[in-house]
Amino acid sequence: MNVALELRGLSKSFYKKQSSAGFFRSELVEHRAVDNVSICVPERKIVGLVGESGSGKSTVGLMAMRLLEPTSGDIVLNGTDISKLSPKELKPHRAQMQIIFQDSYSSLNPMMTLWEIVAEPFVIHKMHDANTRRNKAKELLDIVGLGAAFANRYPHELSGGQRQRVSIARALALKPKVLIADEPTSALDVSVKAQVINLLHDLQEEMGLSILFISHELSVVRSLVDEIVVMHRGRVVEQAQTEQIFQNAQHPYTKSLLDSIPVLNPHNRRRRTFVSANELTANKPRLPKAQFVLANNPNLAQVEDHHFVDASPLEGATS
Amino acid sequence: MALIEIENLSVNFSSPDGQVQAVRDVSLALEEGQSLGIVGESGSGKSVSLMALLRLLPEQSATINANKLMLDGVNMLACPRQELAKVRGKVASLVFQDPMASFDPLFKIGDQLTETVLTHFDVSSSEALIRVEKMLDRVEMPDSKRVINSYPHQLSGGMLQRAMIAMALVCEPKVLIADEPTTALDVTVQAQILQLIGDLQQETGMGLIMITHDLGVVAETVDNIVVMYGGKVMEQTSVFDLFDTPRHPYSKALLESIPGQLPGKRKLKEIPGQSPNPLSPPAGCPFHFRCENADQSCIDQMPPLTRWDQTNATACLKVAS
Repeated sequence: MNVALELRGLSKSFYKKQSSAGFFRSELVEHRAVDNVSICVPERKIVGLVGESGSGKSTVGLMAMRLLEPTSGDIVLNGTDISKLSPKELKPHRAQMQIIFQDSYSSLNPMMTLWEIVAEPFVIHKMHDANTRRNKAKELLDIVGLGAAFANRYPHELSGGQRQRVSIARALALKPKVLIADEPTSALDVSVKAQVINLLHDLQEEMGLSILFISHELSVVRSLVDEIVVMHRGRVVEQAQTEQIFQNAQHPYTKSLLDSIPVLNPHNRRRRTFVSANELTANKPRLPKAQFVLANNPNLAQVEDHHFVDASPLEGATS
Repeated sequence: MALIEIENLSVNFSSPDGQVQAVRDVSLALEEGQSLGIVGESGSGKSVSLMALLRLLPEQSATINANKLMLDGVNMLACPRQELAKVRGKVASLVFQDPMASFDPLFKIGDQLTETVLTHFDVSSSEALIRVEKMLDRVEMPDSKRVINSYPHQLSGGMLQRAMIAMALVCEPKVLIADEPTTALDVTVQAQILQLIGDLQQETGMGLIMITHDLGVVAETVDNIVVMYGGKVMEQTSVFDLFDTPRHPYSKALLESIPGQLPGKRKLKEIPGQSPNPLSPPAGCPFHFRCENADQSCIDQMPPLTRWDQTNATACLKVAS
């Protein structure tokens, strides 16, 4: 299986000044937002990256795009390590990988018409003449289900779901291999959410895209992705194929995430017991003897085919 | 006597583009101690209906018409401004989606909660503080002593929402109106807050109105449901009937479009098209142009809300026939 995007041991530290050392002396306190994360997005597959806010999942997405510089680690896009490239060298590779964000309102320029927005990637990459750009933009608007009639409208005239379609059209303009989707459906209404999920589903099949789908909505992830990576406090705690996670989750954090999905059956109301973050770290899964440990992340132990769980001893936990 | 009685409520907003018909001929009721979920997409009029009941809409732009707008025996249409303040908070309290925007960033949480008590009860400020502390314990606020002396920005979203619920309940209202109380929160925190609201409702016997677009939320918290679409009531039913035997095509379509119900990667059943424009709502049933069963008769007339029994009513010609 060919790999479209591989993240190897990505870490990101943010530093915060703390002046506790004295009036003129301040220390830098390190906060590891992302800690040695390795994710593999195979060609023509959708990988879901899930976790709560603050788990570092969006930071991973931004680093993969090199919109944020990793503290350490490599980003390999279609076999090329792009993590050390200069901005000039990076530009042709950027066309291969595009991103869509949660808030379609702030990610579309309100001064531009929709076709100008969708055609902007052509301008930046100096492709096509003006006429072709406009025609290609109209085609793209058509592909995402808006129709060329929308070409001369402005973002404020659209609903949230329609704006998200424009973001998707723009991301597809350069025919990328890899798409990073950062919570693209979280801000949408129920009936529109299904429309956008289906659109991504179709586009992935038709255009052969590989997608890293970042989301906190496990129900959405279940319908759309092939494989799930669960992040907690900057680390990968479990990764497996979608149904393995839903039917055989091992890590207590994954279990608590699954348990918090509302049950769509009023006959089955139940009381939940909530585990605190400290309990989570104390009650690490007791794993059967790991048959195999991932080379690029020795903390992850294999429990079944394609299914890896974080088994590292944690700080503070006695073992 | 019903706690809340709304009959034939319509709300229009004047805007530069014309009249926005946010709520059209909505009737609903809540008995004491009952829980009611109002389900709908954004723009369906679910929040505006309850805001109109509490007279929280801007008077310059909003026109409210109703045959009846009663809250605990008070006619809210004729209620003078000074009286309104007594009803809000004491009889009915609100919890909003965004707790960060609901608190004043310049005052400590404790001060904002005691202010509510002092407004409604003739007690000393030390007595008020005791009540606030008790209430914070009841909403299971971790570290409540620290929270009282904290400013809103120092707390997490989940803690703020707990404080918001404490503030809403500190005057022991007869009904709690929760408007998307968990939408802005993290998944695990969402489940905790829902469980908390459910527990408090059981303990205090207060009425509960849960306004949400999330069917999972109502499945876990309420007894009865009103489904709204395009400013109108589409279906009234019990939570069991909604999930077991939904009658209205819109309710059915909503249930079917929820992702993740079945294992495996699959396409979802989507509702084509978009919600109607409230500036010029379509003739007839507002759902007709997205509905599989619609025909000419659905365009010619708005289906009346047909009552089946005590709890069930549907506004659909195709269900009636």
